[in-house]
Amino acid sequence: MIDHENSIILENVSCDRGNRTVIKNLSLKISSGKSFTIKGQNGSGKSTFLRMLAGFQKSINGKILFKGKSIFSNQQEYQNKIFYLSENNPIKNTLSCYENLFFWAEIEGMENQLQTALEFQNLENYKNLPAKFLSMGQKRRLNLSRLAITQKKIWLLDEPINGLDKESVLKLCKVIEAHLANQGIVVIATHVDLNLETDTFYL
Amino acid sequence: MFKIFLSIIKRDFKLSYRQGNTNLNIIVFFFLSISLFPLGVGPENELLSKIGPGIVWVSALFSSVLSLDKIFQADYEDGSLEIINLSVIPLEFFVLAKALSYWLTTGLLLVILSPIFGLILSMSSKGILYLTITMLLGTPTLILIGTIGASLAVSLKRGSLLISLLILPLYIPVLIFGVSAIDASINNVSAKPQLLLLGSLLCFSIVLSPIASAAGLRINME
Repeated sequence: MIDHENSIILENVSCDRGNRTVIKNLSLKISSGKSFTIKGQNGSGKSTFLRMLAGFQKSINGKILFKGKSIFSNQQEYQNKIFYLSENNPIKNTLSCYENLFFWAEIEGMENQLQTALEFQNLENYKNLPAKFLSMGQKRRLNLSRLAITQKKIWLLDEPINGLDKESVLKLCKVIEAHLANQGIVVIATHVDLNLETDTFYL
Repeated sequence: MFKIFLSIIKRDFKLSYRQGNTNLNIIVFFFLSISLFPLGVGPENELLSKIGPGIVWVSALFSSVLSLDKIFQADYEDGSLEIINLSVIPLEFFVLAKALSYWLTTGLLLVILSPIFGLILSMSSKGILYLTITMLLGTPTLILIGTIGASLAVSLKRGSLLISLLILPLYIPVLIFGVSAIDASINNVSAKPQLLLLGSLLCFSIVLSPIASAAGLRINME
């Protein structure tokens, strides 16, 4: 069942970035319980779209509504509902995997879920290893482990499977499906098809 | 929220400890710049004790600017800042936590070392005492003011020069009251007004700098 109360609605949204109109007169609805995928070429505005939904892009025309209200009307409350996975990995090289994850768990107030998070992407064996020794894929997995310790409703995932192996992608899909089953909202910007039931939009 | 505030400080402490070079550079710079003055102006005790407070304060001022451009940069570049912005902790508290951890790892060291530099510059014991007190009140103010420049230049690769240009003029009141308090104590005049003014500058910067810096960071996150 789709929960319309929790949908994000865009009404004639346009967004400029660096003197270039990246998104023009976009109207769509992102419903909870079903993933929403953004596809497009490099530079087509996928990341800008996610940043816009996260409330980082303030210079936009049109309306972005969540639960019928503009996301900027109570921005702090709206942004507290957002889990944002950017293209970068917010990982400090001199801290161990455990310390990196522990910091984000403390920010989320979910320190008790740390072991689950490490198990989620098979990082238990690397937990005391400084992050500088991780490969690109492992760093991505460490970043994705944050999904296991978040209770946020809206997930905005920018190229989440970059550098991931097949097993990690499957685990990611499972966690996304579980979140959607709990009436969460998931928006994914990706080049690659994920094995998910999804509404797709091409930018 | 206070727990998150503490966890930011704890993480920055660990990072600072494990990437110790920057802090060490600041201390070495502070030490070298003060040590060079006696070589430049001559070793006369009377002259050194007279210009000593100014030397220590100007050196502390430049030392605090030295790595301020890095205070938010790593968090900005790896996306941590965006995640913090989406968390329950307001960005203003994040700025305050960063400034406090930066002060604890650099500014506090300058305060602890300042009596030694007072001795090198032949300052009287009373002068050294007031030097330490003014540094204790002044260095956090310098760092808090510095966060404003750092937040505005966070997206620039080489923002340190711009930060210096932006914030050095704002440091002038702290420098004037800091040096003047020490001079007053050396001349057996009450330094209370200067200390109170330094205290008020610290209070103002605790309240206003995080607001201005958070606004600067938000602009750069767009």
